[in-house]
Amino acid sequence: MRSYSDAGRADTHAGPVNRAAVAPGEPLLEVSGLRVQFRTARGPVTVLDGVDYQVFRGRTLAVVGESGSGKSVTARAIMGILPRTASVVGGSIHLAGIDLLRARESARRAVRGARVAMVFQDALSALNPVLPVGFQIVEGCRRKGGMSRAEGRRRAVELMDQVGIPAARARVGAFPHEFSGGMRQRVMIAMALARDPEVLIADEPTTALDVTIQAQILRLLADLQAQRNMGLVMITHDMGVVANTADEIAVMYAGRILERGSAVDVFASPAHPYTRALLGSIPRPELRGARLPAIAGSPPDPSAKPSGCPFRSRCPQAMPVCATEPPVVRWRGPVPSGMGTAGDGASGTDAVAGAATSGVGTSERMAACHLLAHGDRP
Amino acid sequence: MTSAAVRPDPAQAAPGEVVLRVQDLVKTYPVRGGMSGGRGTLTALDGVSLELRQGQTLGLVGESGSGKSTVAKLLVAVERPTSGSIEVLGRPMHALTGSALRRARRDIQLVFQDPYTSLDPRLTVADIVAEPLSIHPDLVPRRRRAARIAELLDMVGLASGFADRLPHQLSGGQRQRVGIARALALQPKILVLDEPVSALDMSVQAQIVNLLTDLRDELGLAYVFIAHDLGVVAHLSDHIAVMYLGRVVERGTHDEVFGTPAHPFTLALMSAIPEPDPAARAEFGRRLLSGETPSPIALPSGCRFRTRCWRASEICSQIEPGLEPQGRATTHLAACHHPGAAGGPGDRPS
Repeated sequence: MRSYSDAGRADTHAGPVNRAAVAPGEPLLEVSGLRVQFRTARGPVTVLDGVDYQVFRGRTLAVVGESGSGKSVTARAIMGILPRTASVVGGSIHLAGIDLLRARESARRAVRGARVAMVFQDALSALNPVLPVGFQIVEGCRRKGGMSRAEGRRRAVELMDQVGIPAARARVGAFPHEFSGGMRQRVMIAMALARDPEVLIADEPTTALDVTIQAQILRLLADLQAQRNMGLVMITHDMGVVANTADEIAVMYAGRILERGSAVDVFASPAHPYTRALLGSIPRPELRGARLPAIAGSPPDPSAKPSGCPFRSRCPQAMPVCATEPPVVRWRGPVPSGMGTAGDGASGTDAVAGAATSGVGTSERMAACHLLAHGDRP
Repeated sequence: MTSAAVRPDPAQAAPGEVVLRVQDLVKTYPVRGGMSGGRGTLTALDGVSLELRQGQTLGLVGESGSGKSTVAKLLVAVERPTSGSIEVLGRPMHALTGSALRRARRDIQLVFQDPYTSLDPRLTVADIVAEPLSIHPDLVPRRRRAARIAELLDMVGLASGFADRLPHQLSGGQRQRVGIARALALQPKILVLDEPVSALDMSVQAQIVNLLTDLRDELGLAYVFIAHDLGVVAHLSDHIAVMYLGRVVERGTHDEVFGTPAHPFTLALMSAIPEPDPAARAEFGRRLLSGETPSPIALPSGCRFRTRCWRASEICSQIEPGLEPQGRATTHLAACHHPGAAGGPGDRPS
C-alpha cells in the first residue's frame, strides 16, 4: 500500500478564509428542507422536494440514488453551481454556521471552494484541456490567497504528491490529456483539496473508472479524509461503493430522502420498501440462475411524479393512503413494527444482518413511509 | 468420459453442442505518431481461445483495454481478426465474405451497452426492430413482418402500444428491451451482450437480467456476456474467462473461477469489487493493485501482468506463461508461473 503520510494539513496555503470553529458534535454541513425547481417549457418542475442531511467532521455520508433522484442537484445547490434554469425555492444550507443561501455574496464565495469543495465524475470534461494541470490545481488558491507563481507551483507539486501522482515535479506542467482516467481523477481531487476544505463532495468519483482503479481512488479518498478529518459526501448509485465507504446513508428517490441511517443499520435492516427492494434485487450467490426479485417499472419522470409517496407507483406494499404525504418517522434500535417485516426483497438482507451486528441500532434512523403508521395489514 | 466422475459440475453435464469456438484469435492495429512519433503495433488480442455451448453463458471480464470489446466486434464480424479462427455453428465466420457472411451473421447478434446512443432517434420502435428483417428479406415474408414485430416486442415485455413510439419517449430499461428485440429479430443462436445493464438505473437492472435469463432458457440461446460487474456476471454465467491486456489469463466454470481463483489478476479483480455489505469491508481492496495497465503498444516481456503482480519472480519476465490446467480439472485453466488460490496474509501487493 502506498503511503500518503506526508499529506498533513497546510493551513498557511488556505488563504485569508475566516474559519469559524465548529463545535464538536455539531454538523459541518447541514441541508434542511431544500427545495429546488427547474423552469421548463411546460412550467416549473420540482426536482428537490425537501431534502435534509447533515455531514460531520471525519464522517462519510453516502447519498445513494438513481438518475433523476436529485443527489447531484443537492450537491450543486450546496456548491452554488445550479444551472441557470434552476432555483432554490425553499429550505436552507448551512456550512459551519453560515447560511449559504442567505449570506452576502462575498461571504458565500469565501466558503464555497474553500471550506467545501467538489470532485466531479467526469474529470476529462471538468478539467480545462488547454491549461497545465498544476496551474488548474492551484488556480483557486492563487486567486484568493495572493500566491506567487513559484509558490503555486510548489504547492501544486505537494498536492499531486499527496494524491499519489507519481513524478509530480515532472508532470506539474503536463496537460489533462496526458494523464490516464485514474490519474485525472487524482488531479481533480488535488484541485478540490488545494484550499483545505472541511467538507469534500465527491459526485460519482469512480463511476467512469475500472474497478481496479476505482478501488485505488476509494482508498485514496478514505486516507485523505482520515488525515484531514474532513466530512465526505459520497454521491453514488453503486451499493457496493456505499457499503464500503459510508458511515451514514441517505437513500434518495424522486427528489426526496426516503430513508437515512447508519450504513450498518440500513444494510442490516432496510426499512423503506424502496431500500428493501433495491438491496433485494442485487445478485447474490444463492440466487444464481434464478430470477432476481426485480422492482417493476422505472423511476418517475420529475414532471410526472405520483402524489404523496413518490415510490408508490412501483411499491408492492402501496395502500390507498400512500397517495397522501408519507409521515417522516424517526427511531433508534430495531425497525418499528409495520416496516421491514414484509417478505418482499427483505429476506435476502437477513444474511447481512447476522454478520454485521456490531453497532446495529444505536444511531438515529429516519424513513418516510405510511407503513409505519398503518402497518402491513389493510 | 472417465473424467466426468471427478467433475460433478452441472454446467458440464448439461447436453449442449458447441455453438461458438474461438481459437488463437489475434487482432493488431497499426499505430502511428503519439509521443514517440514512431510507428508501432497495438496488440488488442493475442491468442484468445474460447468455447460456448448451447443454452449456456460465457462471462467475459477484465479491465478496459483488456480486449473484451474487441472480442465482441470480431465475433459479430464488425471487424476481422488478424489471425485465428471463429466458428459459429461450425461455419468459419473469420473467413466468410459477402452473402455467406451475411447469412452467418444471423446466428450471432450484438446487444450494445448504451440504449441511448444505439437506437436511431428518428425511427419508431417498430422500424428499429424491423430493420434487420428488411436487411434479411428472405427470413420473414413481408406480409408476416408486422406479426413478427409484435411477437418480438411481446418477447421482451413491451406492450404493442410501444410499436409507434420514438426512442426518446422510452425509459432506459425500455430502450434496452428494444435493443434486445432487434438482436432477436433474426432468430440468432448466440447473443453477444456488451455491458447490457451497466448504463441502466439500478432499480431497472434486475428486470433486464431476468429478461435475459428467461430468453436464454425459452429460446435455447447462448450468451457471451461482457461486463465489469462481477455480481451480474456471476449470476448469469456458466463459464468465466478473465482477460488482461489481450489475453485470457484464466478460464473455467463459474465454480472454478469464483471458488478457487488461480491467477493473481483474478484475485486482485475480485478484491477490487466492492461488495454490497458493510460486513465485507475488510476484504475490499485487500489486494489493491498499484499502477495501471501497461500500454498495449509496449507490452512487458514475459508475463504481461508481472509489472503489477506481487507474486512475480525472475521467470515471469523471461517466459510468457501459457494456459495450464489447474488441479485435476481440465476445464480450469490459468496462465501463470505462480498460480494458486489466495495464500496467507502476505499473498497480496505490498
